[in-house]
Amino acid sequence: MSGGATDQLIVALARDARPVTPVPSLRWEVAAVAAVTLAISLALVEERGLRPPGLELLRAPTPFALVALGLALAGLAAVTASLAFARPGRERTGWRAVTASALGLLLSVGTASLVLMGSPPGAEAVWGGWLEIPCVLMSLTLSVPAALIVTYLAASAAPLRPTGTAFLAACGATALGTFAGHLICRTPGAWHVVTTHGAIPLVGGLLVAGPVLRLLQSWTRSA
Amino acid sequence: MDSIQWNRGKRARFARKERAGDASRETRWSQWMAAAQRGDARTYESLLRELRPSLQGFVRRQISNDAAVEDIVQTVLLSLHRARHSYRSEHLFEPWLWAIARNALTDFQRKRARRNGREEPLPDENALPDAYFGPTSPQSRAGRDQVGLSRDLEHALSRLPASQQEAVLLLHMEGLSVIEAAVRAQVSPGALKARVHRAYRALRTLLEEEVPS
Repeated sequence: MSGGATDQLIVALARDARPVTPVPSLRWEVAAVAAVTLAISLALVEERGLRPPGLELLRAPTPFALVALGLALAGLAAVTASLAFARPGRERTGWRAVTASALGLLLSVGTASLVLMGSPPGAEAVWGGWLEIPCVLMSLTLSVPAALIVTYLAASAAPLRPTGTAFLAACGATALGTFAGHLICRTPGAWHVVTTHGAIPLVGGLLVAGPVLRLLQSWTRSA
Repeated sequence: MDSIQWNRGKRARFARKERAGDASRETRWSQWMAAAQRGDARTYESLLRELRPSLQGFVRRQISNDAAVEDIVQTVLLSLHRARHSYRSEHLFEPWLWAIARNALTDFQRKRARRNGREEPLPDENALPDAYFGPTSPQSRAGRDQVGLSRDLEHALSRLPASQQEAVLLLHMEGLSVIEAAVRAQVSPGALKARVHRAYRALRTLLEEEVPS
């Protein structure tokens, strides 16, 4: 390919220079996703009530409160990472957010596990059998709005590595969906909220990443 | 000892000067990019022209083949054009630019590794099945049914992947140059040529099946 062709390309690109609207700020986009998640969570709590015994669970650093905090933090950080990786030059922010997401979830699940291990033994089954499945399905369903919004926002930017962007978007959206589900979940057992709710973002991320990637690629092409 | 200190001082002065140059370049590029986002074609062209040698230098550090360097630079320019809305003027321009350039370079190296050095040269345009693209072809002069050929071609084209169909249509039906077609298809000229090459190969096979010689 000759240098003359590059000259022609530059002229052709300059001729095609239509005005474009720069992407919104990353903070604004993350805040929008957080607002939608909060609205869904509040509507669900209003409709079905907080997990029994209700507000008592949030008054002290209970495993429930710790996991809720971890899910919210991990979800928003993964969403931030996904949107940062969709913007060239923001990779450093992306990697910081990935670290925050992983650490947030690990620390909250780890601390919640320690609190549970220190408490007197009760009927805290680790694995609830079939009872776990509705909880997982509900969390995945609740992650759909966040997944659609994050995918749309990432596609509207310029994702250079669509696979990583889609995986992080899927993990983040599933964590936020699980956060909403976590608040109203009725599946018995304190270990359930720690192990199952803590694991859903990663498992769900792997399951949802494929469809999110396809959507991201198709929306990026049409953007 | 004195000469070492003098050298250190010279190096420090040079580094300071370079940093100042970098800062002014960064500011200029950032302002030009903001103007390009507003649709200022002339400023955009100046920006692309000024970026070109920097991009060539960046790519040449990794790739020695001149043609490949130029191909990657073109890919970067096209990616930059496609992604120009993702730049925000409150952020630095250069990290944005180099992220796009690094990505194009990595893609190229990955593709090259996959091909494992067995790159096939692109065929001469004359070697393509021109018979199907114009009424003055030797085959039409030989009395072939042009309507039938067009139908064969249409049928064969419809069996190609959408990206290859687009490449053939832009070049031969709309009569665009490779560069114009590449800008329209939002791929580098090299990628467009590769698509056309693959399309021609597939078309030739399909048409040979459909039109007995």
